[in-house]
Order: sequence, then C-alpha cells, then structure tokens
Amino acid sequence: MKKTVLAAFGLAGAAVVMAAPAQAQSATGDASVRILTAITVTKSSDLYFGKVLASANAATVDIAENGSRTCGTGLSCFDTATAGGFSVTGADGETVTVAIDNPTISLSDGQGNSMDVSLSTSTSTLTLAGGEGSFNIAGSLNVGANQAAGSYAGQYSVSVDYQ
Amino acid sequence: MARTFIYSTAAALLVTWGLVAPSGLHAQGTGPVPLVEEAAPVDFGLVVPSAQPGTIAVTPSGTQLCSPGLTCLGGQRLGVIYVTGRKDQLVTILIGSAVLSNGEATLQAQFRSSEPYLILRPGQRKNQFAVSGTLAIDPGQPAGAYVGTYDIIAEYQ
Repeated sequence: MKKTVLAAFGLAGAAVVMAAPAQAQSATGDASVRILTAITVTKSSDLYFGKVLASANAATVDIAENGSRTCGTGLSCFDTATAGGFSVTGADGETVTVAIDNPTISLSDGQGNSMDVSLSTSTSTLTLAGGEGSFNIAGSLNVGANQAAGSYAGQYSVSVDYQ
Repeated sequence: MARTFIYSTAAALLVTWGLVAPSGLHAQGTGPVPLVEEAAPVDFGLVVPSAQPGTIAVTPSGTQLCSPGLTCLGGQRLGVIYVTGRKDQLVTILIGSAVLSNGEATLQAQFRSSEPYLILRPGQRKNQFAVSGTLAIDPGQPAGAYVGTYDIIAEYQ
C-alpha cells in the first residue's frame, strides 16, 4: 500500500516537471576569417642579354638580378642588358612564395638554332609591404661556338602564391 | 528528439526521489544554471576569393575545406566551449548563426556543435564541445579581417 502511494507521488511529480519549460543559459562565441586579395603578377621587364658577337669557343653571357652583364671569354657584348622583372600585388603584409616554373629554357631563332638559358632568382619569399612587391630574374645564356647569327627568343613563367 | 530525451530523464529522476523524499520534488526539478564559457573562437582562417560564389568550412575534424575556385590557406581553428554545471545535468546545445563583418562588407556563417547535448560531469570546465562552421563567400568578396559573434544556448531543466 505504501509503495503504491509513493509511486503515485512520483508520477505526479513527473507530470509537474514535464510541464515545466526548459530553461536556457546563453553565451556568445567569436568567429573570424581573413579574406585576402587575389595575387597579381605583372612582368615589368624582359630578361634581355643584349647583342652578342659569338666566337669560335662556347661561352656564357650572364645577367645578374641587378641587370649587370658578364660577357664570357671570347664573346663581345653590346646594347643595354636587363634582368627579368616582375611586380606583385596582394594582401598587405602577407608573405608570398616565388618560384620559376621552368628554370631552364631554350631560346630559338626560328631557323632551327637555339641556345639554352638557366634562370635563377634570390627571391624565394616576398612580403607584400603595402600590398606590393617585386623581384628580379637572373639568367645565364649558353652561347655555342660559332653560334648562328639571329634573333633568339623564348619564354619562361613564374609562380607566386600565398605562403 | 532532444526534448523527448530530456523528459524521460527527468521522469526517471523523480521516481527515484519520490520513493525517498516526495516533498523535495519541486525544488529538485530545476537544476542550477550551467555556466557556458568560450575557450577558443572559431577561426575560418585565410581564404582568397574567386569570381564564383563559394563556401569555406571548418569541418568537425578541424580541417579547412574550400569549394572549387576558392583558395584556402590554412589558419583555421575549431571553436571550443566549456560547460560547467551539476553532475548528470542534461544540457541541450543550440548554436545560432552569425554575420561576420569587416566594417564594410559582411559574410553569413552557420555553425554546428559537435555535441547536440551534454550530460555534465562535475568540476569546472570538465565538459566541452567543439564548434565547426561554414561561411558563404560572395564573388569578389572584399579583402579584410571579418569578425562576428554567434549565440550559444544551453537548455536545461
């Protein structure tokens, strides 16, 4: 009998609580994201070796990143050489990586003659102060013995990515 | 579904207490207010938008997931929330949405709790859940640092 009464209390109590509304405690959380400006890369100058007079011996013409030229033994170099140059824009203060996609390319005169060029840069990363930056490309041109005269050209590409 | 679970648990407790001290039922029916604290904010990290709309997510496992066209650059982090309350207190977790702003442009974010409910263990900051989320990125979304807040609601009986 006693157990029956207590059970009734329990059920009644349960009914009371079941009818009570749930209470809630609230708080706030923080969320953030940083949207970056897309990177743009623009060529500012071609890598230009100038005019070269070949010799009976193979030699190289080197263009440093500052544009200075070293003409190999036996070669004669003329005209003003320029290093390759690129301008970069992106998010202010962000660091980007710089890579030459094809470090060795071939320049062709379109007549079946060619010369290889080795490309390099001392810039592997670049911090975009004010959202801008730049870097230069050096090159070493391999001029063959009695290299055929002509106008030689080729292309290379660089990649710039957020780090 | 969550409410059903709350009611059945409350009823079971009352039957137990009813056998011992029926006069205390009403007072015992309402638990102490649980304390909800943010331990770590949700950070969607770094993203470069594209000309297409997309989404960036911090998944429940903590990885950064970008839809095609967007460039995800890491830096993401799950939110972490602590709940402190009475032992065995059942707390249902609800998470609101948010608008993140850089002061000029906005982004819509949705969040998800790793735990739909918690049965609390005793002790301060002994119970926690993670908050993941998804953020909608508009085409050409302006660059900037976007911040905002979301609501965390802990329902309890």
